[in-house]
Amino acid sequence: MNDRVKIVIGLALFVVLATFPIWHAFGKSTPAPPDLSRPLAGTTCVENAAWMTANHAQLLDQWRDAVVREGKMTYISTDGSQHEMSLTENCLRCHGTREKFCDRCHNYADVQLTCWNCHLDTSPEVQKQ
Amino acid sequence: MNENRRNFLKKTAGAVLGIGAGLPLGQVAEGALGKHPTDEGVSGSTQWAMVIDIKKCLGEEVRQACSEACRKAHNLPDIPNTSHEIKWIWTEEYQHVFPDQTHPQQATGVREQPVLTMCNHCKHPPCVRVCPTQATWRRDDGIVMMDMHRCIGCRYCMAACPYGSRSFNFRDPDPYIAKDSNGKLPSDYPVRGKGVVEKCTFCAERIREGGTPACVEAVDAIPGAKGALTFGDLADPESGVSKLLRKEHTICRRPSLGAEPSVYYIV
Repeated sequence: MNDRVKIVIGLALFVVLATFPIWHAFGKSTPAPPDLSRPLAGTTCVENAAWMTANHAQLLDQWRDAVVREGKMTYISTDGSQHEMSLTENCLRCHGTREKFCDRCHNYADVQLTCWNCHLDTSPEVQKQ
Repeated sequence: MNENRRNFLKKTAGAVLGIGAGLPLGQVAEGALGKHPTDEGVSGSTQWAMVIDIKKCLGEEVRQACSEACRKAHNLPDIPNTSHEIKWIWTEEYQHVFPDQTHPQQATGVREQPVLTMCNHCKHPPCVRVCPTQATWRRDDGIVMMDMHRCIGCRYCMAACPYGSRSFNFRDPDPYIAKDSNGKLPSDYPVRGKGVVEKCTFCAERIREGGTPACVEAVDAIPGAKGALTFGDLADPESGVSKLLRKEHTICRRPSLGAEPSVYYIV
């Protein structure tokens, strides 16, 4: 019972440290989402924009397997339209370059990409440089 | 106690008999499972193959043109350390390419003759059998393909390949890839990273667009070397390779191994 003071101090210290991220960020505004390069051509994406934002990684994985393993090149979207399954030859033809599109959002969200370790950005804008 | 022991022995004997009776069935099932997918008949109608005319490839410039075209088409690095080098198409001496077709009485120079070698795209590829992730597999059109996304760099395929046709990226190849003055790579073909195995793919990316392999295109551009490499569809009796194989005496590498290469040589 003589240790009550020490225990209370210890508990208080623990609570303060454990909640540090919460009160440290309190009142600070989070940085605004990055301004992504707007599509240069075309008005609709392969699927609708909200779905693409949430599921583009899974879609690209599916495309990768279809192209590499099964030799299929055409994706038929839910609205029935056909698209070439290629990140560099299709996605980036509308969305510009890796730097202005992929990297801006992935740097913001701190999600590491490995695609570009091997694949090359073949956007006309990059090729001109 | 005695009664229990008797029952126990009865049950044990019954179980042993039961398992014994089921064994032949189990063996049949195991046989079907053990059969490898690549042993099945090929369903695709196209069967890509290559015929190499050794005599037409004796000139250094012809072989150089092949490897240079390949290097440019696939962003291959030029690593001076021979144990780290990446080889898709390269030159070996006749006696090393055809060790079972060599004898001491062969005419002078034959055993040292330079011969172009590459992945044989075997009908029964040993590399495919051993790959634990199916990163390498045989496509219906006969091309033994690599899926770099799946390769974990275990190098089982390199141990299995009897032709040494596979190279491992022991280091990041990037500093060894020849770039132009703007630092641009020779082609748009994806580069490879440290830790994956690579090899000749019969230029699958060019065939898909209706083209021919880069090496074939390169030799055909050299006067006098046209036809040194012939690429085509074995399933089509009128294709260049089919006609050559019917007309010429051809051999392939180490047929006794049973891998059945798709690369043939006119000696």
